[in-house]
Amino acid sequence: MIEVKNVSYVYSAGTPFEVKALDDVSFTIGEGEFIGLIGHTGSGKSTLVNIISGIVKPTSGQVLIDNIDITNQKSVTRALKGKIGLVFQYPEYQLFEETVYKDIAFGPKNIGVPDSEIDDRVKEALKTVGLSEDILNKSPFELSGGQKRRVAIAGILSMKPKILILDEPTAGLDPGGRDEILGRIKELHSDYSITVILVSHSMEDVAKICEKVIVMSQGKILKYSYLDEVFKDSEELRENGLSVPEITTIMQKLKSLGLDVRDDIFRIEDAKEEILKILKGGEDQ
Amino acid sequence: MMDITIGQFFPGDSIIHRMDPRTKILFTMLYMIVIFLVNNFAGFAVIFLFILAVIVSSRVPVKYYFKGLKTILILMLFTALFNLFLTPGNTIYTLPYLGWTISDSGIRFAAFMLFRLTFLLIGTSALTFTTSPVVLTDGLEYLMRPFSKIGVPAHEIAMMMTIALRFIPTFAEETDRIKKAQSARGADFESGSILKRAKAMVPILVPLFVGAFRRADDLAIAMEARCYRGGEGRTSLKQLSFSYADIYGLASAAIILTAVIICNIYSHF
Ligand SMILES: Nc1ncnc2c1ncn2[C@@H]1O[C@H](COP(=O)(O)OP(=O)(O)OP(=O)(O)O)[C@@H](O)[C@H]1O
Ligand SMILES: [Mg+2]
Repeated sequence: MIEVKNVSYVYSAGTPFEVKALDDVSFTIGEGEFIGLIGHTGSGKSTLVNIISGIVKPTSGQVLIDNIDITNQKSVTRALKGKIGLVFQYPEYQLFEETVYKDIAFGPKNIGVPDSEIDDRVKEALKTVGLSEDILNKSPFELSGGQKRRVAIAGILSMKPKILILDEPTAGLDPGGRDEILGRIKELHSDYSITVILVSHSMEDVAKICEKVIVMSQGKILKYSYLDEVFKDSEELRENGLSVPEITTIMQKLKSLGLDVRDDIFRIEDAKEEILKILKGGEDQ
Repeated sequence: MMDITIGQFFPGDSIIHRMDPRTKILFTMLYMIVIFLVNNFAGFAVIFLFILAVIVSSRVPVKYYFKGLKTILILMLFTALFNLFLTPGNTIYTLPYLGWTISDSGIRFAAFMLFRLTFLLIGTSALTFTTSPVVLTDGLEYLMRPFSKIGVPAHEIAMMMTIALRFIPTFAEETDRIKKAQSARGADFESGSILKRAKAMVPILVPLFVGAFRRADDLAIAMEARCYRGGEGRTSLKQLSFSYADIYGLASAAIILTAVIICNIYSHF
């Protein structure tokens, strides 16, 4: 369980360039939940996930992971390493080893996974991100952008974190690759019942795979609820520089044009059913 | 986050901010020469009063000047200690066991050295705190222009400096980011032997250099795409011009130079 209590964060505190990135944020994420974290650019998403994973200490407030205060001592964060996996925004810039294999093995080695197990973990992680094994002996610097991204994500997955946090993992990937990676993450989530926090700008992606959504605006939590709750109030989201999934917009338009459809739909399949139902209902009359 | 107070610019509208960069650069050079000319406490008192006036009128909070000092504290202490023990003169005190001696002129020189480094850093900080990097290099380019006759590539040097200055914060940020990313992968930079810690830098340095080369490439292409071809016939968007502020600057330069010379001649303290 992740408990965030009154967390604030200020960048460049005490200089003329002070920025309050997080302002008294509190919320709880239960074990095994799949949370989408959305918000316009600069709303504090990356800052928040850095704090939750214990890499950045909050200016004030507490973060408890399974009742351990990670904002407190150094030794605690060390024990947490491996438990929380954070995939940074543009993680491909963290690759450094001679080969892809070594790079993916870097994390597990650091957290003390025995050598005999590392090989399996590297291969499993590689499979999860949809890369083939002949890439393992290449240098990470001769891969394409998308391949680098996948290798970087595999470098985190190989640590088998219980809480997986991804900061815009699919920004800049092709739609096919995006769906593929998100699908694999969803599988990981259901197979190993890990907790996942997905930071994203894409409402479509969030609607497709998350259960609950946290909406951030200017360093505060605007909303934290189930998908339908959040997407219902499309006006408020728009005011905060966000949108609802296109399909929700369509349903809302249909309704405003007088069609008797539900407007809290955010998946294409549900929309299809709803529209078919209306059409069939029309024939019956 | 890395501490990069030295060389940071604090936007503002004080009289020092408004001075022409050329005045400020020449003034700072003169100031540096003067600091090393001073050989008595009275002269340092003059410089102290002057620098106090600069700090106050720059309207940059005093603590930033001190923050800069903190970063060279070790250097200052070492220099002072060397001067303290290694200057020959009338021995005042001998350290027990070690047998190192402190002489009267040792104390004097150590104090001078401390004053010089402090004033030097505060003075140059006053320049960089109140002058944006772009304006600063504009000023430098202008001042170097006479030398281009003898083959000094004034514009190119200025451009290189602008770019270097521009990228210092970027690299500091990048280092910070990579460090965080690697520590998310369990990398440990803080414990272990020196050798182990040096090795732990590899995961930071490799991506940093790769990134630097990529950036340099991108920048070169971006500049060429906008038809940059060096200094020949280039005009600048913001023309430098002298103002009243510069006259004050000039006047105070003349005053402290005279005051320091007088002190050097007449003061024996
Ligand atoms: N290293 C930094 N130094 C100073 N300010 C920063 C730094 N990083 C972020 N900020 C500021 O903190 C605020 C929150 O930034 P953050 O990166 O958390 O936003 P974000 O929601 O992740 O945005 P994006 O969607 O663009 O990734 C922004 O106003 C940003 O300008
Ligand atoms: Mg971000």
